[in-house]
Amino acid sequence: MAAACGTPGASDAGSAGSGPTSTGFDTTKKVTLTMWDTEDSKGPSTAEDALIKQFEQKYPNVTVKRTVRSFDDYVATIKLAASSSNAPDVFQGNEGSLDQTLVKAHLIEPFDSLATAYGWDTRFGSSAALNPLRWTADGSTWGEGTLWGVAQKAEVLGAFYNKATLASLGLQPPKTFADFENSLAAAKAAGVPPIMVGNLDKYPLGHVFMVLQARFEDSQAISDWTYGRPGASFDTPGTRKAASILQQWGSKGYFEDGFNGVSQQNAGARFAKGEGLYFITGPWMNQTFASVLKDGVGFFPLPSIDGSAGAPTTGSLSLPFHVSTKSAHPDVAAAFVDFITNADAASLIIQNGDLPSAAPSSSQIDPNSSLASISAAWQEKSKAGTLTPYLDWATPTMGDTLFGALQQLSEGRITPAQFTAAVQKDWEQTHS
Amino acid sequence: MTSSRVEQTVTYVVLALFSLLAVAPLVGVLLAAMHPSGALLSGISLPDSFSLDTFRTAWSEGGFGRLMTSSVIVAVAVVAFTTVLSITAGYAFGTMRFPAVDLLFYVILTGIVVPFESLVVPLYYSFRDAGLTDSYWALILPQTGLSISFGTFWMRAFFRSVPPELSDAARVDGASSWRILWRVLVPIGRPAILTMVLLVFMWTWNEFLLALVMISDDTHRTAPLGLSAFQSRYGVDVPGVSAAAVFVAAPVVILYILLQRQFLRGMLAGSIKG
Amino acid sequence: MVAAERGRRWRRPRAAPAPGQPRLIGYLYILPAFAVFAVFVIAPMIDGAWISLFQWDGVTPGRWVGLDNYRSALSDPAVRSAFMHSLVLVLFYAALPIAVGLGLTALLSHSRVRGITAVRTIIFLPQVLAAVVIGVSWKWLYDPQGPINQLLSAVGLGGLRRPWLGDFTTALPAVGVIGTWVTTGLCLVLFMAGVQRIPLSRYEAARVDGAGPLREFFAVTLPGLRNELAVALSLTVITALRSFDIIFVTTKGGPGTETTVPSLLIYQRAFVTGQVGSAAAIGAIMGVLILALSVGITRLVEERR
Repeated sequence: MAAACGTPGASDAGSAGSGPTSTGFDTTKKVTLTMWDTEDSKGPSTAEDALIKQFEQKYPNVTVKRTVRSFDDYVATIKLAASSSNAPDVFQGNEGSLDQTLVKAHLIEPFDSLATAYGWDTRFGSSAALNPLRWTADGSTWGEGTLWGVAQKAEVLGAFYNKATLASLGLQPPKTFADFENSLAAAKAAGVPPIMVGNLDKYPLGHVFMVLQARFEDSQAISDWTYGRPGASFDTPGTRKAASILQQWGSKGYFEDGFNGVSQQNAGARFAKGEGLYFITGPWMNQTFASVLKDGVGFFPLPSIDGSAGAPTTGSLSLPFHVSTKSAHPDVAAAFVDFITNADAASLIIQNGDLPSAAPSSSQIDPNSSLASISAAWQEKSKAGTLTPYLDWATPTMGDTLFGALQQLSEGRITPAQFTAAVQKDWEQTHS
Repeated sequence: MTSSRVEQTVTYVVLALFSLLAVAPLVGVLLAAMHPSGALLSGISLPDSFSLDTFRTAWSEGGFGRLMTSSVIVAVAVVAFTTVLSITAGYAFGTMRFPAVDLLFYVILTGIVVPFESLVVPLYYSFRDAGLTDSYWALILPQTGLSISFGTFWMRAFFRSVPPELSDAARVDGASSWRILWRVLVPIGRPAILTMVLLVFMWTWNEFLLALVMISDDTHRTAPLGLSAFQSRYGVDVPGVSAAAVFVAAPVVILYILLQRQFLRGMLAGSIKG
Repeated sequence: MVAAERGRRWRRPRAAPAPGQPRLIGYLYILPAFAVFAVFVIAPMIDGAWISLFQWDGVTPGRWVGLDNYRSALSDPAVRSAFMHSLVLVLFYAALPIAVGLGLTALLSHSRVRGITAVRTIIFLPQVLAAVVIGVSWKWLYDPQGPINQLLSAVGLGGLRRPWLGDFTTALPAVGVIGTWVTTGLCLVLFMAGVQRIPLSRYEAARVDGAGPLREFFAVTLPGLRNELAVALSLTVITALRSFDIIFVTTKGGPGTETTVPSLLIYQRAFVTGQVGSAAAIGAIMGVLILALSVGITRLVEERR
């Protein structure tokens, strides 16, 4: 077998190409595009299917075959799928170490010329907005250099809340962080699970932690650490404070019973059916809630300590779409990527209750809906640059390490100091 | 030996209890599958109406037509190859002497204890280099390789148990070893071969890790892998997942019920394969 | 000596080939099987050993590190705890079922039971189910809203309700119980069948010696079941050490790393976190361990013929 005869992996990487440079493709040849994504939540998945249908109608010679996986399944399989000979033509990556691996192994096409040709550099706000999707060609520096993907959607994390439940507790949407914590206590006292979270999937509590950390730690420090800047540390007073608050929430029973054994799907379905007061997650879950609760669900980013506006929270462009260097039809693939990220696609995404990254052509968001609050939060914070990145981007093993440690922290099995030390240790294995 | 009525009763009770324990979870799953798709169940409950709708929905949502086809293709191929190769090898190991015969047999025997976990990493990367991941061959060839260990062991034991007079008589008539094998010995070896076929079929049908690693696309995914993916995506839908589990379990369970004696004989008679 | 007489004396018992001469055609017969085995089992074993000497992410070229992966595997707390968890599973998958099987067999060896075939079929059923099916089914049984908690509430033990697979203390035993459920049937059937083979004369001799049921068990039943015990031990211990499918489907190694076992570590490191060399090393360690255990069990327990 090949691997035995030399350094393993020496022949696996794709060849660095310059990629397709112009828009348009031959519409007479029959083409099948394979697409992989992890948009498995209700709203986003419906949107993707609809976009595929529209694309196939516009270009009858093209058939798109879609494979969708849940997030943890997806990250477990996409790297290998991308490096196999049947790599999908179009697939989602993830900012950070996943994209870095894809760039280093020449598995994805550079997008610079396409960005100019298709107008991507202006479609998503400013050119700087796409920085998390930039890597230097050798994959060594993040945030600058070549553009490698474009994201269809935008994400900002916050608390979905059940309006009726909140009202029944005699409360208004909290203005300060202290108000927020009081509402948790009130819910608990009334026998309502304060925060629903399905942490069997491990990442959900990660999102809860991240918005807490954004409240107590300096955003630049969080950014520097996630982007692997030398000297950055996770073991800071602010982060430890966030960790200890999360642990307290766990010990006070602010999460639903057995939350570490409940799947996110299950928790989400129960919240949609009316259980629980808050659900801290992102826009991809909006349709799951809004399709059942309609205007009965609201959204707010975690309030600041003093109640002032503009406090940082976690958010970014969502998972980028890439074109494989192994694709037989890179031009068709690029056209497809353009199609699913343009203004019309943005309208469709809104109609399915999710938040697009491009400005929509027509769809207006219902001002009473949770989506309106989500969109407002996104607009405000992305313009002000007060969005902190997702921590699991930091190293290839950070997801496992961070989320696993959070499970233990939430049950009081490790202390905040042990928690931050474990996470920092993982970081140092990559960034020292 | 005589035994008191008390002993007899205790025996019946104990056996009944264990039978219940063995079967209860499965009955629970079957019942769950009869509930409407998407219902949030709490515990075992009788559905309001026994409908097969959930089975229909799960079948189409999970793409089980395709999944079962893939599983059948792989299982049949592995069984076919393993049977032929094990019969020939077992025949030689069981009836012929040649230099290093014992050593070679022990080498093949190691396959019975080698776990897929030790092989799956190099297998994956080799198949990827050859561009054969996401193909049936990626599942058929390794599983044939490992099944040959048990198959050869099993058939050798059979051939050793055959009285030599049978083949001697045929040899006197001028038959070659090949003819003796297929015309004389295999026909009387049908029960043993059937057991081997059933066991290899079952092990191949139930194989999960290899499929998980080798197959990423929908066309070649086998049933157990499909079930895991179905549970990941639709896990909230307990009736749906239960129905999907029934699909995956059904073929082997049906074969088992029809041919239990062959199954049991094979799995108990000194088999060391897990 | 007359040729015929020589021929008669040369005729050896059953297992011998015809006229005593090595049949080189035997090589031809084993060639196809051996070829497939060599390419798809032996070659990967060697390959795996080779890969284990590199630090490799599976995508970019690897880096030679010699025996480092083995060194770090043996000192890595994650690997150690994974093997510890396997040991716990061995208790549930092997020790408990065998004890139960032996105990019940001792109870039953005196009676003739009607309908034993039906019972055997039912008790053995879990063995033929795909591990994924078992995992998916038990995942629902253990669900916070599932039948087990429902049963506990129904019998007034509602205080014991918990998220079995999500609780740090109960997750591993819960997985273990699944294993017990799967293998107890096998052990029971194995021992029941084995007991039938013990000659009654031995029991009678023990009776005559005045042995009570306990001595009878240790003096006659247990020794008589040595071969079955060897088979049961091998099968159950190996099943416990592998257990990938069930854990992947129920807990994926969590919560935290409470149910992470070596086979899961291999999968995670080889395919998720890009530590392929380490995964190969753990795989090699696992293979050697299982091989040693199988040989050891057979040697120690099986009756010498």
